[in-house]
Amino acid sequence: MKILKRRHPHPEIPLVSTADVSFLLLIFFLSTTIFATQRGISLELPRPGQPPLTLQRGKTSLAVVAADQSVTLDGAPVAMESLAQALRAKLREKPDLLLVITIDPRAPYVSLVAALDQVKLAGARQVSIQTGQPS
Amino acid sequence: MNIQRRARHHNAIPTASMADIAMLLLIFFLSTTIFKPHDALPVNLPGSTTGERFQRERTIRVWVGPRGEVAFNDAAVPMERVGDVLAEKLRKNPGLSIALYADARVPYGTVARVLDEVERAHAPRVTLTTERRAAR
Repeated sequence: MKILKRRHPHPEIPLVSTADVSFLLLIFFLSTTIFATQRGISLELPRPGQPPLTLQRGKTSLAVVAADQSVTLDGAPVAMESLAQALRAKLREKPDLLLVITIDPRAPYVSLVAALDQVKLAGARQVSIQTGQPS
Repeated sequence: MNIQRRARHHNAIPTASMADIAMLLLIFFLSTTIFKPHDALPVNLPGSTTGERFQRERTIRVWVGPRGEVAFNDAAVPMERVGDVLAEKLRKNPGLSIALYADARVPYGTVARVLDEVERAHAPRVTLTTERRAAR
């Protein structure tokens, strides 16, 4: 009798398409990734028990933002976009200038951020923010 | 004369390790991806040119919606309780700072009240979160 030897099939997981599949996933993740960056303007808050700031006349500048977002710097009307420029001129005269920003409570929040943006652009170090009285 | 036939070279880029490399990169991206956390309130952040980067993971996020509603990431909070809730959160995690996500259109008076509450919670600093705008 002839007994046929059974052929041993070589068991194997087909790995040919692994590279394609993983490259596809890789490209998907690469293209859908957005880097989460958060930006913001940081404000130092007064510490508890800290004495209130004394404003010296002659060393302060007053910027007022009205409810309609119009800005005046020491009484002179300025456009929000040129506030930095006006501030820079003042800082050149007095480098230790303290800027007081008074904002009407009805003015939109964006005007505070815009004003602070301009202040940072001008490079002013000391800023005090006050809430104005609704006129 | 005996002319030898030149053996033909089989030109091929070795692709055997391609799968390994791709898998490695894939696992790297999978493990380093952080999903964008959900926003507690739909806010339209104001734009700024001088905003600095900060680490979101190290902040307590306070949201002020367009109608003046205040919310933390886990719950909406009435204005009068914001200071207490913040103080409680800061007591548990003293290293955190506050990030304010306020809508650009909300009146400044509302934001001022939130800032008063933040101050009442003895937070040393607060970050006004903005969207990046290209400098003119």
